[in-house]
Amino acid sequence: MDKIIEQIEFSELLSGKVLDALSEEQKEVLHDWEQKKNNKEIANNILNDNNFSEWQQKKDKLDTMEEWASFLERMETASEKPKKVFNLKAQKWISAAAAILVVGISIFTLFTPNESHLKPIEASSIVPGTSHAELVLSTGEIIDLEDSKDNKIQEGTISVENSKGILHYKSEGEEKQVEIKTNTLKVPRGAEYQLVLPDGTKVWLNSDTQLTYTVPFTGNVRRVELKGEAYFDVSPNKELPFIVATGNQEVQVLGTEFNISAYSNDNSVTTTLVEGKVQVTNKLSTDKTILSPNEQSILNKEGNNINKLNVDTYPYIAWKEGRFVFNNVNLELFLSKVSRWYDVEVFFDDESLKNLSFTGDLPRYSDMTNILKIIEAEMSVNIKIEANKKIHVYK
Amino acid sequence: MFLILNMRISGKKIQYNSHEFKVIFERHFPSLYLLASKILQNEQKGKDVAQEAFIKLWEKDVEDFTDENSLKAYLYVLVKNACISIIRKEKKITNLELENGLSVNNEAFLNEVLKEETYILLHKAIKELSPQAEQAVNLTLKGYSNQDIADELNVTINTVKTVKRRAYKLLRKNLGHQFIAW
Repeated sequence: MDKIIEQIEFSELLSGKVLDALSEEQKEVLHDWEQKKNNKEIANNILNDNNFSEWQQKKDKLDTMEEWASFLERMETASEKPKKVFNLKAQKWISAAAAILVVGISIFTLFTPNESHLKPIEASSIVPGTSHAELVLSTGEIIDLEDSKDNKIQEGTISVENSKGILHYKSEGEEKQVEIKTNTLKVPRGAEYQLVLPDGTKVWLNSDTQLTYTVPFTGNVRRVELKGEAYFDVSPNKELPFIVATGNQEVQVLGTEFNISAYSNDNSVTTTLVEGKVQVTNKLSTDKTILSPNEQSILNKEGNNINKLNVDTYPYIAWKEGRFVFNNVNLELFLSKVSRWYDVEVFFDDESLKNLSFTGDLPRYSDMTNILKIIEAEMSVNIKIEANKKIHVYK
Repeated sequence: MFLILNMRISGKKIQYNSHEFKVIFERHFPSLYLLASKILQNEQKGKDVAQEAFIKLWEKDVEDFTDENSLKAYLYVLVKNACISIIRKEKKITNLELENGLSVNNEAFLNEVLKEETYILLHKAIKELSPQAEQAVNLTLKGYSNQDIADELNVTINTVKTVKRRAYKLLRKNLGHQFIAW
């Protein structure tokens, strides 16, 4: 055991050497070690680019999440074995007694005046959002949607299936629905959801977002109303233009893919076109612009005109691919986007911190503390977490 | 339904089906798997052995570890023993020792532990940073000096140094208390 621990400790010296991070003292320790036996050779074999890339390839092939799921399954199967249960009965009593003791102690510490309610990142855990939403039917009935739960809903003559985080309206062919139903899909903070409309259009809804639409679409347009952020993959139909209304902006399309971010607490509506062609209209000034792929329009809520830019679209749509990608955005904007997904609040100790510029590509489905650690390291700020829900950024 | 079982690290109680334990699992499973699959020269068997190590840990119920490194060392011992027992069953032990130069004799095993641990640290240092960090590490492993790397990547030597410093800082941050102050 001790020998293994020694190796674990030496690995820190070897990796520190690669990153030029060793102190004089550490260099000496490593040097002394290398003099012994064939250690120099061992170190050279480890610090070798071919061996490392071979290792990385093997590591990348491993799906750790899948292994964790399989571990949970194995634990479950093992605890169903009678022998195991019998064995553990006595221990369970001991654990229960210990638990009571622990509860007693934590209640005690809870009520002890304590100024250290701000914890460092390492001591916290903020789990990512999940797939859940509320569907408001035309009758006003509210249905909770979860990815673990399957529902079958009937809205007039249209059947709706909810399965694995996707709400799917099944088209009933050419059959005309007599009654028009209005539905709203509401996705809270800390959640996301997917939707397939009766015309086959796919919509990815980001956190804190709601989409209202009629079932089926009526008249000579397909019209939806959006608050928040969504990615649309509109199924082509030249006769029936698809319109996304957000506040005083309307986007009209025939069949295409684009992202709209229109949060009420942001002061602009951003439309980013990935494929096809769309027309963006400001309903107040009737200012219009046409977007081509890799173009973005920004409609300022106070101003009347629409600004058009050329952009790399990936950072704007990466959320739907499970990433947070930011290219030179200020820390305030970055954290406000991320906080919708983790359902946390962010506080800046100093105004100047808000304008620090951040560039990075981070995973969306991992604990928020992983992201915060990177921000601390990359931007030289200090972050403390209060009750796993409030993030404080200090100089 | 799970039976709620715990272990302790540095006196702190951790339940096996908790998020905390999931983090520990995700942190150590890859090295254990890679080591076992190298010794057994079979990826599926490597996964089984690494899984079994965690199951054995869980079945022991209340284990008390002074820190996360001792937990990891304990898991390595479980992996080593499982590998020996599989090789014995397959009756290949003498061949493996002679032919592959890698066996579960202590020396070779310890060298493999050092390799796994070094690589996982380097991986953690660069995986969430820009591609530049990865390039800098790969070129260093190729034997390039910082100046060579700067020339190769078309950046200044100071950028190379900053990239390395950031990677190390992130590594320290990620490992937190696990990191030994030498």
